[in-house]
Amino acid sequence: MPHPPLFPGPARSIRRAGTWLALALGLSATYSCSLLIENKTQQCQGDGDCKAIGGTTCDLTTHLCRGGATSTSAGSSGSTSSSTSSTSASSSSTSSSGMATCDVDGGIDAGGCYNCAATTEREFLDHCTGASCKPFDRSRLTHLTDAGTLPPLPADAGGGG
Amino acid sequence: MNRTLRTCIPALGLVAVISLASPARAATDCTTLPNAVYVTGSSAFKPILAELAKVLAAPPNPLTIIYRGQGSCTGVDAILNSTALTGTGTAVSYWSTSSELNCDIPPGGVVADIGLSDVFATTCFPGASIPTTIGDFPGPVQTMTFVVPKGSLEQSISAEAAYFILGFGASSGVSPWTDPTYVFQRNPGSGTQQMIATAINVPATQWLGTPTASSAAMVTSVSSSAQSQGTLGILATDVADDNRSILKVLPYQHYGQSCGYWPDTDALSTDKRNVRDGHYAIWGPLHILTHVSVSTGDPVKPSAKSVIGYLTGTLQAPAMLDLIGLEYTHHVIPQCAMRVQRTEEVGPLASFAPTRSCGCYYDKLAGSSTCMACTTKSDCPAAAPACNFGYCEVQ
Repeated sequence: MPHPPLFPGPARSIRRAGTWLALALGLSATYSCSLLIENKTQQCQGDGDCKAIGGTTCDLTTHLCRGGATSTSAGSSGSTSSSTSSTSASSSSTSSSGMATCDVDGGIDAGGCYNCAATTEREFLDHCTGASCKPFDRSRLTHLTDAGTLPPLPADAGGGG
Repeated sequence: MNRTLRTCIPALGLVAVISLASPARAATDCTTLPNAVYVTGSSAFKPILAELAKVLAAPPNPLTIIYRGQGSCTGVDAILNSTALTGTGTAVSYWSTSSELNCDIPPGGVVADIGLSDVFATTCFPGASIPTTIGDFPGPVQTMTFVVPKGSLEQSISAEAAYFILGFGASSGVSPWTDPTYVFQRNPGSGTQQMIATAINVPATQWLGTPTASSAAMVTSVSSSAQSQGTLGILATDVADDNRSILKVLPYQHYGQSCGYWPDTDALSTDKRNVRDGHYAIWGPLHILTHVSVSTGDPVKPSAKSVIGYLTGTLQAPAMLDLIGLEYTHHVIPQCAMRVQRTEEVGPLASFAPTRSCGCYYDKLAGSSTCMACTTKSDCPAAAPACNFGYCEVQ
């Protein structure tokens, strides 16, 4: 079934210009994946989308740009993406050589994030993301043990009320 | 006309109207319905099952889904222990192509074909071994959350905090959640409570807090609490997301995690991104249990196999049914939109690449897809060559 006209009424030249404008805007939106990295579920659908993050290629499983793999784009750009709305970490990191590393902002043990394909629980939980987050202030846990660990549950705990 | 008669006639009319409007006006014998598939267990999935049932009820080869919601572990019990499914009147539902109806299961009951559970069978029956004659097919993902009243100032909760609050009650030391009167729990048999219990390491039977009878009661208790700052509750997202105007879902920070995340990208989104990629920890697939052939692993009953195929996404949904859209609307996540998976309750995460991914389409439903649109695979680049549900995907 044919699509209804985009711009009914005006002269053909105006309609044509409008069509091109709509096409341009549409293409811009279609390819915004490579521009709005980290704020979307998918960073990339191919290595080309990762050019803005030096030394990374597209992990086709996670659709995230990851470092360490050999690629035609590796190290070619040398630029890094800007930080995002994420409260956990900036989007990516590059070493002094311009190559991306897996550990961003010191890595997960230093409160940063992990930016390669995750394989461990902590790498999934603290993977670099553009999502917003809110840390819970651990100083509010006033009954931790002296070692800073959780005490055992009370023996008489349980059941309602 | 005397006064008695004048009073009676309108009253009789009202009775007639009410009778006609009642869905339970006829006692149909369930066993007379064509090509019946008996389903029991989790009540959370009923709205989605209902829409599928309406489509499958259509001629020329109608299939009748007969359903009784009784809670997750009842669904497990029905398959694992072959406990008879019983019920009459409004307890048992089936669907015509347009509406929900009720039927009576004969005395003595029937053997259920499918059991639905929000939690693993072993969560319901610790130590039980699942025989090879029973299959557990992963369905749409359900997410469990901590909720507070809309007016609460709390910004997040951690597994450690929840451990104290629900395990120690009044002596939790985690202000403002120190009065169990306003810390609401469900019950130890609730799938929501069991999954969260596993996540925070406080057995569901040991929770301290005020029980609520249902998810709806939980919504009321939390949203109308007299102590909004000290109030805490738990809900699955299918209910929590429908009540965002009166409740607030808290970002959850799991053990060892550096920050707390909403199930979605942020408080306002509906994309379940953090569940789908592993940042939000408390989730699990709907467990669709049925009897299977030991040799093939396929469901024994062909009609049950069809229903399971639709629910798991291995069978393409009937043309007139946007099952992914329906799942999005009810705030659950189809397997095809997931990028992580797990094989035990709140267990270790692993990368997951669905056979026919629908992540782009799910994002589009949530309003934020950045994928390339397509009508055929020839529209797609080599890096994402599959055209699935209108978007280019890797596979």
